Amino acid sequence: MPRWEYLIRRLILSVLVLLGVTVITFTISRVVPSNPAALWVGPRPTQEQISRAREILGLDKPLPVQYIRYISALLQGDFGVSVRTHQPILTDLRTYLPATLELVIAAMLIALGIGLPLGVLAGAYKGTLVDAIARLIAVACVSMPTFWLALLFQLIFFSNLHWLPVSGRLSTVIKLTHPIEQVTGFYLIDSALAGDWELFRDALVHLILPAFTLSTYALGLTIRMTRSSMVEVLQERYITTARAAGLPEREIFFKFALKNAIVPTLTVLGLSFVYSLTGAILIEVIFSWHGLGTYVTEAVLAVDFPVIIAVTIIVTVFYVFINLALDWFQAILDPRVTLG
Amino acid sequence: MFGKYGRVTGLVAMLALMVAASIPVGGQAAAQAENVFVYVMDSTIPELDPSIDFSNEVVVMTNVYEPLVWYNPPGSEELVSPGLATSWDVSDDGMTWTFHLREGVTFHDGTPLTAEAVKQSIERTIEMGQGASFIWWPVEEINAVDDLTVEFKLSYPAPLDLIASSAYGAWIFSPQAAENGTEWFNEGHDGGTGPYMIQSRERGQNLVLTRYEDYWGGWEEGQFDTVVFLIVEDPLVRQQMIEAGEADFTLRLPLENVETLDDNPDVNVVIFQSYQNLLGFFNTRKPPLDDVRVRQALSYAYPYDQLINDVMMGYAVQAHGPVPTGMWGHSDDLPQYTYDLDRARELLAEAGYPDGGFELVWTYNTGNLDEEQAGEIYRASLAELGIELTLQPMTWEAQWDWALSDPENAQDIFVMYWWPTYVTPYDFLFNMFHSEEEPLFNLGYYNNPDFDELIDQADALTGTDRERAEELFIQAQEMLIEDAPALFLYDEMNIHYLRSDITGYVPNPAYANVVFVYQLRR
Repeated sequence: MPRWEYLIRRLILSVLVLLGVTVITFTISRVVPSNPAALWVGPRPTQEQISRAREILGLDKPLPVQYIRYISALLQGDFGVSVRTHQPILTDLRTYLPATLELVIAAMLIALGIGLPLGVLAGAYKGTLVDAIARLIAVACVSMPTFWLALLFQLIFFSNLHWLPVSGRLSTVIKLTHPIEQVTGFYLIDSALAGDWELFRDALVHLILPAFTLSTYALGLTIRMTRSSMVEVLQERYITTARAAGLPEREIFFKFALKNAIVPTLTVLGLSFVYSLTGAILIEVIFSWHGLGTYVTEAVLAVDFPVIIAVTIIVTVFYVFINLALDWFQAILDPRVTLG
Repeated sequence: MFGKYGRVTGLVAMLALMVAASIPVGGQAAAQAENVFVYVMDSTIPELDPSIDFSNEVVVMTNVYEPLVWYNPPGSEELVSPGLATSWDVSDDGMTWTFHLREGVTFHDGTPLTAEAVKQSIERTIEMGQGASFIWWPVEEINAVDDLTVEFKLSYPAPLDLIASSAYGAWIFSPQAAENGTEWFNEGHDGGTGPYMIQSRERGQNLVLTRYEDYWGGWEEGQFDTVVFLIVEDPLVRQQMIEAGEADFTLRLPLENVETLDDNPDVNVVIFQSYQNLLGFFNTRKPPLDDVRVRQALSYAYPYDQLINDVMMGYAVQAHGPVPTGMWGHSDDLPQYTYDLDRARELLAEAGYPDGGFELVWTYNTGNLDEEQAGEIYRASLAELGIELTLQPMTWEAQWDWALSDPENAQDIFVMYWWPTYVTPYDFLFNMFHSEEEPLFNLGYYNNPDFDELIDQADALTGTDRERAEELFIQAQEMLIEDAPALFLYDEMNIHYLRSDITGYVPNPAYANVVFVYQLRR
């Protein structure tokens, strides 16, 4: 099948997936016992306030009508307002989504930057000390609970060594003296764009502990996946040919073998990236990194349905497109893979 | 392409760590130099419109806005003291109140405080009808008599001095500022008269206040220039921050760490009685709890000491009726139910349940450990009487919805906290126990016309004869304790943590968890 045709078919399917997700989340979040009108009014509501809130929120209409209203607003780019805080969800997402993305992307880069070379070496020198160490690291990374690791890191690097800050995205004083102009919402990029290196350093220092903690699971996976694919690929004949031709080891491992071995690693990493968007809640809470995870958890506890649906949609969009991009990338990287 | 990548990337992350590690953080020293007070809180500040705010925004609002009258901390001679009003009088019938305003006060936008501004502030709050606007229900008419005199005409006698001291819905703000609307306030603006102005706000993360130079109270050497509110959900992180000096004030740390922190010379632990209490309403409309003897028996079956000592680790006291310890209208002479299973058995037998044999459902707020454990120990105790207790966690809204839907089929015991909007026993007694046609907060559906009459009479007298009113409120509580429409569990204590170099902190339970930063020095 030609690539563009495949792409269009996938995009149409994605729209159906998204639509299905909105129906399911909308229904579920509206049938769980709760009272959105009371949530809207806040503590100590009066009967008049509640009936007015029902009208404002359109809760007096039948559920299908409510859903159609919601979807038509959504198609115009309006996510609605949070029932709990009355804030427009789009405004909230503008702060929370970049915060999470900055953290998760940093974590994935760490996982890739450390995990890939380690995995390659472990696979290349299978059975040696390097392999043993890499495997030990992989097992430790995957099995250590992140919340425990987060607290441990805080204890060591903040309480004992005073090297790194304990929580937040910036320190209080820097925040007061260096007003940040929101361009992308990524503090590292925004501060670099503004040429404010003191701010950049502060943002970077705050990113290290949460990003490292969050990266551990993906790091363990990366090492394991890369290692096993490497082991497999290195037995292929073209590698033997390359060796016979006298190419340097480094070139064989990192150029010829890795190119074929990297695909499963990227798939795993891609899925782990999307999972972390809302799955990083424990790390977000421990490091006071106010992101999507914290946002949606608070919404779930209060049954703040517009927020729950909005975040679900965002995450679904990420899932759909990352999957698509991964398939696409795989086809480019490996001519044997056909799309269809 | 991967060859180059592989060589370099392994080092990048390590390099970043090393760069960062070579430079110490140094936040604490800088914070002191800039004269910043850092308040680390555990949940977000949702609403900044002074007509609407009705929750933990109060910690910000009290530093930015002022009411006509402030409610005093416990131990003061008077209940209230002057805020934006310097004096006030009430007519003999309690129906007309006149407030005389402070001279020379300006709002943060530079406009002067006038009687007209007070009238417009309160009228805006009433018209918007949100948040705590109900406190102004008795007000029929507000008149600006002259520039600095405001007169309130009421439709029934009410304690307007106490109402004006409310922690919610009683702020006086610049009418010009208010024209910008709710969204403008929530972007991080204000229209107050208080010592600090809102400088900036990042939703869900932080809020910064800066000094208002023209504050009527003037400024002295050593007062704070800047106040920062940070939101940090994790209690252990808040603890690390107060220990390291990154926070000047915080709250809600793990109870088991209170003693450790108390031993820390850098941290000052302030423990005081709050105006919040925990109750468990008995469903008085549903058998067997419609029988007063059963309710009394169940009140005797509660292990109060275990609750105070093991669940609350001593940071609470057993309640004497619904008005919390330390508040006016509370009396330590009121009777208490004590843990007495024999007495409970006798009463159950009288009511026709010698071996128990019924089941009860206890609903509480999902995730609230205190409410859950309070139920666990009760379940064990009731099991000894042959009564089976089911603990049912629910969101507050769902729990409430169930109680409002149909009393005969609602939960048997509804557990919740109560705190006053403005400080009067009537807030507790009226909302939770006055009869209602449609249930709202009387969630045990208690209905006693004698009780209703007594507290209504007391409320009418609160503005004019507070001593008599207090007597009547206490008398009403005696009636209530006898009828046992609820388990009166505990009056909570607040535990606040400050850096020990901060002086001037006086806790005031009327304004929950508020720090009046203007009063502090380092």
